Amino acid sequence: MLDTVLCLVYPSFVDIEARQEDSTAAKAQRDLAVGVAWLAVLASIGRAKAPIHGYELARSLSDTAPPGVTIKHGTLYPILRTMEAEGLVTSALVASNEGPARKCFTMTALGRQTLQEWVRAWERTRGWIDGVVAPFGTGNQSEGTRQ
Amino acid sequence: MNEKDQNMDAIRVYLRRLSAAAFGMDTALVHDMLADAEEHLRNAVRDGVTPEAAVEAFGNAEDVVRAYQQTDATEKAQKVTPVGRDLDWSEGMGGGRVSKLAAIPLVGIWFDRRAWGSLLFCILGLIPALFYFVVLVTGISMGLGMSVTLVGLPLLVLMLGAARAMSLFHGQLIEWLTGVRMPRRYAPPPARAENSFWRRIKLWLTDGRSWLSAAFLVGNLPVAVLLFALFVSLGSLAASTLAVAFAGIFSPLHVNIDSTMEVNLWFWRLVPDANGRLIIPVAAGLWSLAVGLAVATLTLHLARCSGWLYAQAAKAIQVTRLDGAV
Repeated sequence: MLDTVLCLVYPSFVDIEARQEDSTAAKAQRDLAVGVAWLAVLASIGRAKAPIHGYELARSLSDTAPPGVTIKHGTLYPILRTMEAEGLVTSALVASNEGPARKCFTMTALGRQTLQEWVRAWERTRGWIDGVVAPFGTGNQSEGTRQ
Repeated sequence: MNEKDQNMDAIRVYLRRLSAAAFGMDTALVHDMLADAEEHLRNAVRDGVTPEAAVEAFGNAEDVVRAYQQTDATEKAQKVTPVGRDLDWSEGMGGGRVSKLAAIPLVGIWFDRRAWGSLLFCILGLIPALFYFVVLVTGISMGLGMSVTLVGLPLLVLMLGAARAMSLFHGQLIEWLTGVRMPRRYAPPPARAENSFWRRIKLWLTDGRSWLSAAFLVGNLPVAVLLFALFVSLGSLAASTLAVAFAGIFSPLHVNIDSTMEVNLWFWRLVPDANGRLIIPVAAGLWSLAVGLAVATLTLHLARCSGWLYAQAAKAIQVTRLDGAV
């Protein structure tokens, strides 16, 4: 179910500033970001040393997003709900000295196991793609052109 | 109007836009969405982001609503399972997948675990209802009585916080047993960064949502008693009629009674034999079986209906926003 939800929701999760320009590169960037955004969300929760709240998570994803990719913070929450329903993360209200209590997320054991599986899948895919596109990389521009 | 109030106003305007874009959506989902948005935007503003920038980063209302709708639609689509597949009971009696056998008219109710969940809720709901009532009535009475001392008001706030927590828990119990979508999170509690301890106490004490949660939980007890009485009576009637049916059909027992007593069972007058044994005729057993099954089926339908109505009423109370945000 999570996969289905992610496929449906993630297209609206990231946005490309250059969308209006109808650039092929921008579209490719968006598709790539959409495909791996779920991994970034779960990994960001897993990396956090303490329970992380939605705003902090969204800000961290925005700060580390590739240039041109904008994260729509509002669409992060349905994903968190699904992850919580699937048992990948748990949430709890954490009291704050600066204001009302915040709903903070922590990765569960199942979430960690799932993340490891996703990371392995990502590494396999990355290895495959790296091999295929290697001749066209930044350092091999001329070789790629020759071929 | 100070800067903080202006920020809150900007957030309220966005929440209204979000609420308008969500017109027609499940109210529990809208409640959760607004609570997520409000907490996020308040955190952003507290972090020094302007409300305009926070709202822009949050995304336009239509996109956010669409994301929630898609998630919810996928969750609902997962709840119908083909006939013959095992049901995952860990998903809750009402919240998991629903067998297609449940769609069979009239008797399908026997395969609808939401009906069984509702029946369980109607009977066992008295236990948590009694707990909420005792805790809140005791706590609030003590808090009010001691409000002239330093302990009273904090105790009242504690009780209001507990009312919110218990209300959320009760909602999850309802969703788990009846399958009706209920709010899954709190609306952000009333507190602001600059508030002093006593100012926060005042905000809590004047928070209509917390008082409404407390009133709902206290007023829930008579309803729970009524449902308990109704369904224990109906369940006992069905069970006793079916017991008579089994005694008549399979004749495992002969009922020993006072030899002088005659018993009228449906259309049959049963007369004890010389040894004082009362034998239930097979025909009377078959008739009892039919009546027992009919009563049990009716009970399940009534439980499903009562559970649904109760859940809708509870949801309407839980999603009510009294703070003027939307």
